[in-house]
Amino acid sequence: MKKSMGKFFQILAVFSLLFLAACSGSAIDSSSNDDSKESEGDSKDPVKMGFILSLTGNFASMGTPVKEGIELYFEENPEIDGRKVELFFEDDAGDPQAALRKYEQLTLNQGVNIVGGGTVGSIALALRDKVDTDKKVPLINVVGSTDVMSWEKKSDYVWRTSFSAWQYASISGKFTAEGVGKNAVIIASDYVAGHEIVTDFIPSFEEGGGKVSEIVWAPLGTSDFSSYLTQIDNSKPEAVFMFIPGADGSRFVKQYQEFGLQDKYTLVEGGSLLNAPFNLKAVGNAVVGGKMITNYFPELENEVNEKFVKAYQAKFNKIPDNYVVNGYDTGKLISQVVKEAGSLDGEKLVSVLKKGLTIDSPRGPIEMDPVTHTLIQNMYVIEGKETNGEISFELIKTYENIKMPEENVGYKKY
Amino acid sequence: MDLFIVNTLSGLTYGMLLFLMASGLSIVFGLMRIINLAHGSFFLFGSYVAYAMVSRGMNFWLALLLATICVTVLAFLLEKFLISRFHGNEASQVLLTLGLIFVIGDISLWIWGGDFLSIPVPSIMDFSFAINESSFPIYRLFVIAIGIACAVLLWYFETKTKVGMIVRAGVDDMEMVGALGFNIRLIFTAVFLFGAALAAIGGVLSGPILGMYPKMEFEILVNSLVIVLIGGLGSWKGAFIGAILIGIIDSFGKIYLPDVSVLLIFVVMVIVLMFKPTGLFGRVES
Repeated sequence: MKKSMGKFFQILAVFSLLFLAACSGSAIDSSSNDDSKESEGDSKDPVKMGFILSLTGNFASMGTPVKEGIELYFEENPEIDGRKVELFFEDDAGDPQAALRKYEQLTLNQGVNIVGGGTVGSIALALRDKVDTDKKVPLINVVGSTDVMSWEKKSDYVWRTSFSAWQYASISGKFTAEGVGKNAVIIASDYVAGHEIVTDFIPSFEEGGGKVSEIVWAPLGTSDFSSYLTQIDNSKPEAVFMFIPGADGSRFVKQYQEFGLQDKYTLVEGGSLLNAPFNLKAVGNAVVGGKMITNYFPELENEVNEKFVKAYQAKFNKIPDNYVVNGYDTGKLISQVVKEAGSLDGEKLVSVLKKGLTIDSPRGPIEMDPVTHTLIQNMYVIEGKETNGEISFELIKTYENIKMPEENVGYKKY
Repeated sequence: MDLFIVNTLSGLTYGMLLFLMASGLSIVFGLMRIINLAHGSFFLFGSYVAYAMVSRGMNFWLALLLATICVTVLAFLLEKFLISRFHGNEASQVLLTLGLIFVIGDISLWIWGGDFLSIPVPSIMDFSFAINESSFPIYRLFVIAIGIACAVLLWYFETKTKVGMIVRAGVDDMEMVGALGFNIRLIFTAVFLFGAALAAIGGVLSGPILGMYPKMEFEILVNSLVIVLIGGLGSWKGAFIGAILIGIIDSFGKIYLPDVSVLLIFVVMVIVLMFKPTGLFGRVES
């Protein structure tokens, strides 16, 4: 038995290594989507756009809808100012190094005029540094929400069509203090974005008179939250503020219901994850009564959104989430910039962006802030409702024109 | 106090799911000297199959039964056509079953996609009971009960039935059992399938608690391997105690030592093995 024990050990060791290797994930996949047709005798050069998105791996649930939004926009608008549009999509599988390789490939081999990407903060930052040194093509950051992109890491060549952590978290804090309760527990995923959201949440919550009694950090990939739930239950807060992205978040909300916390403490969610159709399918009526802070929701009433939702449903047969809108608006922004610049030269494109411009988005009219390079946009608080077994979201409060502070506010870091 | 009770119960729930997985792994190893890494796939595949049936409107209990049968059939095919060919050759077996994990994992990914999925809690158990001011889902209590029931069943089989006697003898000396006229092949297959069925039941039961997602089988497998080592190879009793230990440690570790909770079970493993290198219930071979 002793001998086999040793063998067993070796196997466990080898196996653990393999497991780690499998987890780290590598970028083998790459998909190139060349929509171009040979332009014959066209006087204007086509606009070549390269998008580096996380289309496989952990963050695929964010990268894929962005791609769909971009595709939808350019299907509706196949030309910009008489120029043909050529789209290239590359997969970084959530890996910043892979994203940089794809960037080289796109700029050197395909000669793209504009790059879009950054499905997560780490990738957005990696691309940002590269683009900022090259100063050749502008980068449109499609998701990466890290605040420094608007402050210390701001670059003339980098602009964000999504949102910043500060926009979400400070409004979450403000709303929680105003509309839910003064005593809150925070549960957040233990990674960069989680810490950033908590850092931005607390000052604004405290400003409204709130007090955070406990911060619970759950590792990414937690499947069973029961221990954390009893911990929350133990401190009996009025509000529970959560920032847990992706599949972890759906699991948490479901277990929040199972352990009977749903009816006891109001759940405030600050990442607009729960109204995404994919999450909704997984959690069902566990979102009822929960408050979510978001920059977009499909029921939003305006003309652009109505058309957008219809077109998206017709093409993809599902309801759009805010990542689709990020992609759609990225297309809109690029079109507008190229049109106004009348050129594909990087410097000229950037000078248009620096003047500031307004996009007619499904989110409502939004403005690109030339100071922080992040959109000035409304933040909506929505609440989950159940009527006849159907889950829907109702708008309960709108915070208008939320603009990033112009410089790092220097909050205490958590 | 509430916190303590609820956490203990949570730990037991997770422990019982791990027990269903680890006991099969341990028994199969004890008898056949097969380290079947694909055991994790049985767990995950079981829950995916049950999900497919429940999401099409099938009753949870029927889905549990059918998914278990499905996995047992799969295990039968794998054992008959692949694993049995490499009997006695441990390195090949490990590589083979490791390969099978990836293959079955990719097939699942292909069929069910990479999204997080979960099975709804069966409606008759979709409520919680109160422990003073806290509450605990009744379904999890049911999972604990099933785990204990399986342990009792295993104990009964092992000590009170002839089959159990043969298997016990087989763990000690397989050749001798063969020489006495028992069909070793048949015993091997039966035990292998039994282990797979237990893993599948664990997988289906974990569907409403842990959910399903790609690479989940690795997570559960690593924990199960640790349990088998702590408990002692080839002993379901060891797996039972080990699983409870790991479940409880995991549950309390998350609260009291959140920074190191991921490592904690390995620390316990090292400590146990330092004092008892054969595991808690492992025997020293003469």
